[in-house]
Amino acid sequence: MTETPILEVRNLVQDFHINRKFTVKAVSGITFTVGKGEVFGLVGETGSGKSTVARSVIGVNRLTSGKIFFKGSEISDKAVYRQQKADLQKNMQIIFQDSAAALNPQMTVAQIIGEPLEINRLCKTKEELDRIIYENLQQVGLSEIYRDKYPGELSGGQRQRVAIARSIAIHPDLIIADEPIGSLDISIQAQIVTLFQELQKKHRFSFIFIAHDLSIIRFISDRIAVMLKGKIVEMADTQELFENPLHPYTKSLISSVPVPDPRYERVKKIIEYDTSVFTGEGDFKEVSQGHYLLN
Amino acid sequence: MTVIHESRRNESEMDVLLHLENLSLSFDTPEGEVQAVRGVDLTVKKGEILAIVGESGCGKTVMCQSVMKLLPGNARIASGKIIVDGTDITNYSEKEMRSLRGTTFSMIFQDPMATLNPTMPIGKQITEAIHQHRNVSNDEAKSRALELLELIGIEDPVHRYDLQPHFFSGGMRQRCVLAIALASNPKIIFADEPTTALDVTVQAKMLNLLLEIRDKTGVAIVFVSHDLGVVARIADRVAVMYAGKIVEIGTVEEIFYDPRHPYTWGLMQALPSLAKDGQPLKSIPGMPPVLLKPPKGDAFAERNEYAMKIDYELMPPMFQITPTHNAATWLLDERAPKIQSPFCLNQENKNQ
Repeated sequence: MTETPILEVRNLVQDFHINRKFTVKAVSGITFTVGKGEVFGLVGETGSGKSTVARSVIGVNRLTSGKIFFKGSEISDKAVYRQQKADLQKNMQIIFQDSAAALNPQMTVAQIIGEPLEINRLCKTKEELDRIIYENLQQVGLSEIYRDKYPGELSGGQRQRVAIARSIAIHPDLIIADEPIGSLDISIQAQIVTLFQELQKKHRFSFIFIAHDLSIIRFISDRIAVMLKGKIVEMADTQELFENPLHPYTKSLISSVPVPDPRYERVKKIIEYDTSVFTGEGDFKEVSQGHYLLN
Repeated sequence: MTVIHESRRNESEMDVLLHLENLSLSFDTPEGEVQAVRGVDLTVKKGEILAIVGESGCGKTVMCQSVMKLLPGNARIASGKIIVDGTDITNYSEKEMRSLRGTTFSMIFQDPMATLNPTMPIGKQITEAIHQHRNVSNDEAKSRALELLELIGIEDPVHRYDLQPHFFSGGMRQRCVLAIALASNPKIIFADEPTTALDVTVQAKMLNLLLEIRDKTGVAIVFVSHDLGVVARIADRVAVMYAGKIVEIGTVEEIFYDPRHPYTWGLMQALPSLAKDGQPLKSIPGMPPVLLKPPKGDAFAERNEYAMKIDYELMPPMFQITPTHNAATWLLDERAPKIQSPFCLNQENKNQ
């Protein structure tokens, strides 16, 4: 990739001081880039630091150290961040797992989708606002009747669609989705994943997709990073990662995913990896074209 | 329906542990009667793992809880029978049920922390379950508890015996719950999404453990899950539930390699791991029906692209495909157009 990436994260370290004696090292030095229009998958087990990365990137956490560049400007620098705040908040959007908590229960669907449009002054008249809200509802597959409903009246899948509509409406350059389908049913999961894919193709936004489910990540991502204990252990193009996994943890993860094929499952060998031996030490280096490994 | 009853006669009566006969279960709510389970026929045999698959709200959990009579007061068995080991327990009182829980059936839930007492050492929670059903001394109970901890693969059980649940990881907690469930040698374990809250690597170990326990103790497991990958790994037989009914049931091979019900096709097609490269996922349109007023015909008709006129009018009966494989769809009627399953699990999919 020769053009400037949308997002570049360099040596991001994120510690949380609980008290004088105890510090949680959530993320300990990770580096990655997300290109324009790329779908970047971040996968790892509970507590591996995936969500912390997402929150640090959108500026919720104050970084312990490291740098984050968004479209070439260093947003981890406070002065730069303050200067570009309005632009950043429009161009970076996040979608959470728990859509019930992410939507204000006292606002109607139309108000929820309209709010960021008004704040960012993206429409001049009331009619234009109505039209954009309508278009975005259509885009995420909700009909007009949902306009005046409250989040409490919607199902989990529908709420997640509203959260997506709200993010899409202001045409961001980067969307971070933190386990967006984790709490949904299988058939609804498929609907939402398909929706993400359609929207991504249409609007060409860059997309960081965080999940613990490797089969979804594999399906949607162009490139995948595998996280373990606050480190990226391996990062490669999707096909390369699945055909040629190098880190023992990646191998173990891939072999652990249950495949819906009983005869295969019966003979499958699960590769075990004892994560307690993982120290996180070593260099994160490119071993072949675009394939990075912590070794 | 008669077809099934004939096939059942062939099964050796000895092996059947649990038999649900046309079981219907309703909740009385202020809005009206919610028919959560609608006429389920099901058997569980000794030592088998039966998986129940379906979307949330299809009645899979409620069905298990109805057997154990763990339902709230507004639930009632509208019709049908629950037969355990040849005894009809449909009208058992709470006192009679209590002696069955633990000895005949146990249940494991999704969230181990909700099952375990956070203030009580793990060992004590297991011995408590043992004392409940057997008149044994404290030492005997303790040695049995240590045996169980060993069985479920907890290292250094003597030391861990005295630790509270918060010292354990999520996977280990779920193992401890399993130990409690196994404490008085139940014949059936109902496992309600026992691995959903676990990481994939931990989940793989837990599934292996369940298979191992089944082989060692011969306990039957009713495994409720929505994850078809997990089901493929663990199940001997699979029942697919939709809107309170079993729409297809068969051996795990029959369900995965030769599914007949359009809903089963839909579930399979929605799986990202089975999608062909570059092709979009196919999802089932719409939402499951509300069971307050279940539709007159086939509940799946509205979401079914193969629905025929009769689907909206008459509920399809169970059609027998093989002695072990049944599906409730009008597509299997001889008058229906022959439709090739759009979904085919072929060898190419074994790509991992």
